[in-house]
Amino acid sequence: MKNNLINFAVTLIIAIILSQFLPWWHVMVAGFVSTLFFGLKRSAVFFIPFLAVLLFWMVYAFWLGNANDFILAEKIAVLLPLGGSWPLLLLVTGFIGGVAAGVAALLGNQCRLLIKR
Amino acid sequence: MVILIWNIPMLLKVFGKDRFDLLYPDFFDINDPVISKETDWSFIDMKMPETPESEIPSDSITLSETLEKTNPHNGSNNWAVSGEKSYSGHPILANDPHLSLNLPSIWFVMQLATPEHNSFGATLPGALGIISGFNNHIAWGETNATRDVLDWYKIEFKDTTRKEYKHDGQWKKTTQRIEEIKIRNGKTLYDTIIYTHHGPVTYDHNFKGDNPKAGYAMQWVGHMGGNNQRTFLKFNEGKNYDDYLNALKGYTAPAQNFVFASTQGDIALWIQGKFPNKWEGQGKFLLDGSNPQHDWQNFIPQAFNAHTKNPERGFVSSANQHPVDESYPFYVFNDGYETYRNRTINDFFRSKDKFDIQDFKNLQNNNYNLKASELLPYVFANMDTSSLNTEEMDILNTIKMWDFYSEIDQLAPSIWESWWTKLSEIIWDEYDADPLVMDKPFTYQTIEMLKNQPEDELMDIVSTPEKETAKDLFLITFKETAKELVEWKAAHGDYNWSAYKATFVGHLLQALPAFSRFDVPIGGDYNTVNAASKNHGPSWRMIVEMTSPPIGYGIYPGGQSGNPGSKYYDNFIDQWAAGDYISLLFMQDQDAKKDIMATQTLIPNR
Repeated sequence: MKNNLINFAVTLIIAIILSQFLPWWHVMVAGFVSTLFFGLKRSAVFFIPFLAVLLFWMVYAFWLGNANDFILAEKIAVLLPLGGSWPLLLLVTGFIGGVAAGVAALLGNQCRLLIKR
Repeated sequence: MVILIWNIPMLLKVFGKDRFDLLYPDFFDINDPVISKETDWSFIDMKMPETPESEIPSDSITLSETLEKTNPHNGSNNWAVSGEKSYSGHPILANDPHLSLNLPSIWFVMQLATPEHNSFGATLPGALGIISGFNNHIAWGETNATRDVLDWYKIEFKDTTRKEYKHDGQWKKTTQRIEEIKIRNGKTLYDTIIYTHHGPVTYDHNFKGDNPKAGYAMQWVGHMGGNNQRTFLKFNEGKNYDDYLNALKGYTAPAQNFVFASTQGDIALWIQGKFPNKWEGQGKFLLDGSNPQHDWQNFIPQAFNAHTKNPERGFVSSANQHPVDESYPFYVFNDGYETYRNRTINDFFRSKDKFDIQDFKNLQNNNYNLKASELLPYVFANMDTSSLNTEEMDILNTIKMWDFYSEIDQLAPSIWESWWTKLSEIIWDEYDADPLVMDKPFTYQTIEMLKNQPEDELMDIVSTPEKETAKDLFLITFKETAKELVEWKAAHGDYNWSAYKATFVGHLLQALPAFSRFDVPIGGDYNTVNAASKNHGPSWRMIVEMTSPPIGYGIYPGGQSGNPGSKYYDNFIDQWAAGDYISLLFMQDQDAKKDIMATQTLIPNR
């Protein structure tokens, strides 16, 4: 449990810091690096970084969307199409980021095992 | 030029000259022209070119299709009343250009102020200055004059090298110009354009034609150039009628009806453009490029362009109708002038003595369907209804009750739209066999034919063995209309005019749904003063009262921002549809703080 919390926090912090310099794949670097140094067990390997980035991207998207009363978010939710629902758009946004981070974390975990051996 | 008649022998065989004049009259029997009938033209002292006796040339190449035409719904209204006809004693001017309804908006509203001038109004990206607006002294606005400034000449080449063409009994040299068209990721295309003294050979065997020794050259005022932007810049800094006149003098094309009002109390309207002085009938048919008498002889001197200043009737107006009546000495080809909006507007201004801002707003938003009102009573009186079933009778009774206002909650305008669309197609089915031969007769004349020549042979539907008359066409198309509307209702619900018309303001990228607005509740159709059709309509409405400084009202179907993420992208659409206006903030002081939402200061990099 403790490991899970540490990994969650580390993924989140790295992702936030790297988001200032790198394009969208900063979340993959964050997921990879955090599991490389803070190993996780079983499904947690995927889901902890997944949840961290899901939270990060949803909050960040909410903050961006809120700046113009979600006008653009609603329009993008028509374009995709998500029935014009901006909360759904935030969820999809977070989910995509989370999957990217989770997949990268799986790779990080494998690398950690390689190094340990 | 617009009646593209390539195949004259066939045309004359089919119709004959009398029939042709009946279908395509130079003047409709009603005419309420831009420049009123009372105008005295005696100041025009000029010899008119004579119509040559030569034959109209027959066509020498067969075209696969003709060039695309502009949207027939492009039109506009403008008008101004004098101080005597104004509630306040100050002239009032209005303008509403009709264009396709797009997002980002075609127009944006701007105030342009320097220490020397100050102007306000609507303008277009790329234009210099205000196009439809006002300053502290004058106001101006435009409608399209739809004048014929383009003619086609049949060209005969000496041989297939096309180095020489026949003119005035001799072979004259063509000039070639090679256009370089760069293609991304491809080979650059070099296209040789052949020029005669008439203009570029447009149709030839390389483009929609088939004969390597012949072609059709286009002569167009638009090719002659001119500084048309200067006119608008001078309007922006104009102070009085003389400045307005001086500004529009150099304007060439496309010809416009320029309306004017000033704080000094003048109102005026000039139909301005560079107009070839044609002989009677010149350009109605294909011209003979080898006959010097078919050349454009000269141009109408600018001072003789049709115009009016402070007319006795106390108002000026234009709505793309015929510019003049028969008494104007120069030949004016009937280019399909609008025949409905202008009469609604002029009748309104003849109806009473004084007009205020609310009258102007009401008129710009007027949905009276004059076209329907001129045909439907005749249809009701002459259509045989004995074969109609109950459902069809219900629909007929609905439209019979109509007051001819195309309002959003009415069913009748939808019935009319569906019915008229079918009727106007079926009556000219003869043209469908060869759509290139010529344009179908104009709407006004179509209705005249239905009412006054109901037994005419053109009423017949070619594909049926029976001989139809107008009465039969009414019934056939009515039954089709009823069927369509019943099906529509089953699929979409009530066919009230708003739902059936389904006006939309579409994003430039194929009306991308996310960035467009659909089902905008606005009445009217393309022949009402409020010319709002499915994706076309008043793209800017302006009213200006010429107090000092002038007071303006405006609205347009869009917003000031082109960014779909901004609330200012489409925030005017609902007010526009409802017929509301925004008071225009015409700041007189550069340090004004009142009603300012944001400021941005640009400082040059020294």
